[in-house]
Amino acid sequence: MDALVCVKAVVREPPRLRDEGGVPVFERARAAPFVLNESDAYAVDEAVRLRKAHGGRVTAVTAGPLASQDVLYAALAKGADEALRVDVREAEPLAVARLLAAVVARGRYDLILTGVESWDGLASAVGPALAATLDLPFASSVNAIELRDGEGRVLVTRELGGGTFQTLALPLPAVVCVQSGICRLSYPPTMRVLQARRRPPRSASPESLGVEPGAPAARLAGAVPPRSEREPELLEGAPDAVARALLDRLERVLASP
Amino acid sequence: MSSDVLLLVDHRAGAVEPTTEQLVAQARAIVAQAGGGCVAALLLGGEGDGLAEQLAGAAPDRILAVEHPLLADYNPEAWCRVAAEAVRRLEPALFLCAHTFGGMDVAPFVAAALPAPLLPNCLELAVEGGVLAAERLAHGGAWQTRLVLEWGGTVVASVARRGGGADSRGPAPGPPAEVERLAIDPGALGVRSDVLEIRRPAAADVDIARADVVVGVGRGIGDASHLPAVEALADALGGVVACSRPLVDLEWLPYDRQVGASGKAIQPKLYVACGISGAAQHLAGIADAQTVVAINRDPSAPIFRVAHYGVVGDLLELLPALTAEARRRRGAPAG
Repeated sequence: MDALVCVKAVVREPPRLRDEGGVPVFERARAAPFVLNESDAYAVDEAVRLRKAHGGRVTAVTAGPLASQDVLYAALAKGADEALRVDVREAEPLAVARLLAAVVARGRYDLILTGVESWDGLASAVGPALAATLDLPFASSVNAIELRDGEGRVLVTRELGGGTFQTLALPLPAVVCVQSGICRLSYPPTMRVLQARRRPPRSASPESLGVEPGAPAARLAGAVPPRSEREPELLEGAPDAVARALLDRLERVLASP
Repeated sequence: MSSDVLLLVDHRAGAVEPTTEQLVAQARAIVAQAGGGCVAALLLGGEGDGLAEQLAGAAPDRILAVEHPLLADYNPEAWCRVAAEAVRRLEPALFLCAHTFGGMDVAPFVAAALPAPLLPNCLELAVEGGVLAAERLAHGGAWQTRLVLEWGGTVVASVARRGGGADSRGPAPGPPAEVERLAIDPGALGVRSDVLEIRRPAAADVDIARADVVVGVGRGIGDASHLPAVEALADALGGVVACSRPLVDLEWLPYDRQVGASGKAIQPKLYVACGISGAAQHLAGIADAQTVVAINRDPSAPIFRVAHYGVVGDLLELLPALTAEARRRRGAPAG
């Protein structure tokens, strides 16, 4: 079972908004580190778990600038066999999907894994877009994977919300977007991370992959802190006093039919 | 170019989801701003499952249906391929999906398959002089960004679920639209995924979506050993316990107790959020809660943006105090 795990480097500290000659631009907070996006971290651990059971190789890939390479070291420390970075600045999900599709087309993978959603983009778009670009079957929001490599297929269980689940059978190769919680997250010891840093990932340019970067379809026109829907009445004091004050205010809510 | 909008009807277990009405309202607003156009609903389902009748309230101008056994149960690949084919044929100016489990699959797939620009997980869409503008949350919900794109051909967008769908409806609907069949054969589109099983929560389980009082608990509770204190408060208030995503991932509570975009949308009279920071994905599930109380150690937590009452403090001190006070008022012995 050879797996490609597509991961995103995210910055947990919100960026600053800068005005660049009338054009709003997000700027990464200085010294804020790139970290492995949470559901992608689960995807790496799940791929390593599958490899332990079925053999094969796990390749981690990210599309991002040089500094985002740190997340590939994290993937290697988790047990990925090799890593590749596609050298781009921030790109739209569909553009990332085109780049990743070119990486898939240049290799031989049974399973293409990625996380269901990135912490910063909140789009959940790369996985399904990758499947469409490659014309492969896919499943998203997956929280269990059972590989039947003898049958050339994978059984996945996915969430449909509210405690409803669906089990799908997909022929290989397939794209699977995993939910957080699919397995137990590994926290590799520092030693392993340091060892991983001695193995610089390969890098590829969009041109070398035969992908025209193209201009993004949508541009940032502005950003504001999300507006508050309400200004809450803040209750302060000792716990007993707060409890009385709060339940005084909730009396009507709790009494209404 | 026409400004026709095609929207994907969101349904599950034989019932059209309330998000569909919100999509129609959003589509109506877009069409009005663009100076006219048709709002068509794309209905994918099994044969004779009676979904079209449920669309009368939402009142799209047209209902375009593809009925096929492959579409009876939600098969992601089948839905995606049929939707892509429908969009290719109909060439709407906008293909609109709800950013729920189905729409999260279909919107990016269709956008990449066409290909067409994608505006994913939007709070609001608007047209301003040939430009399509989308408001959306980004960077973990720390920023609300505004994206604009030149509206020249088909654009695909998904819209986040929000509260109060029925209120935002437009003028009273006319007679219900006739159902038109779209001649698309899902069996000829090369669908390779099979649905083996659908597992729904047992009827006897607690349904947080129907409870009047919900006490939600998040990672701020610190340790699973503190959960009984949350249970006790829920019990004293006559409610049930729900949670945010991290607690499900930690296996402290089961999936059917999760509130949020990847869990359940709830509509209680009272929601008490305990140690929940209020990630965008959680807030999507409590948009219809009537009264929200937030208890959190961090005064800058986004949950306070939607709360009516806020308490900044230590959950482990406040929970027993609230429980004792609630019990006292209900005439039950404290303790």
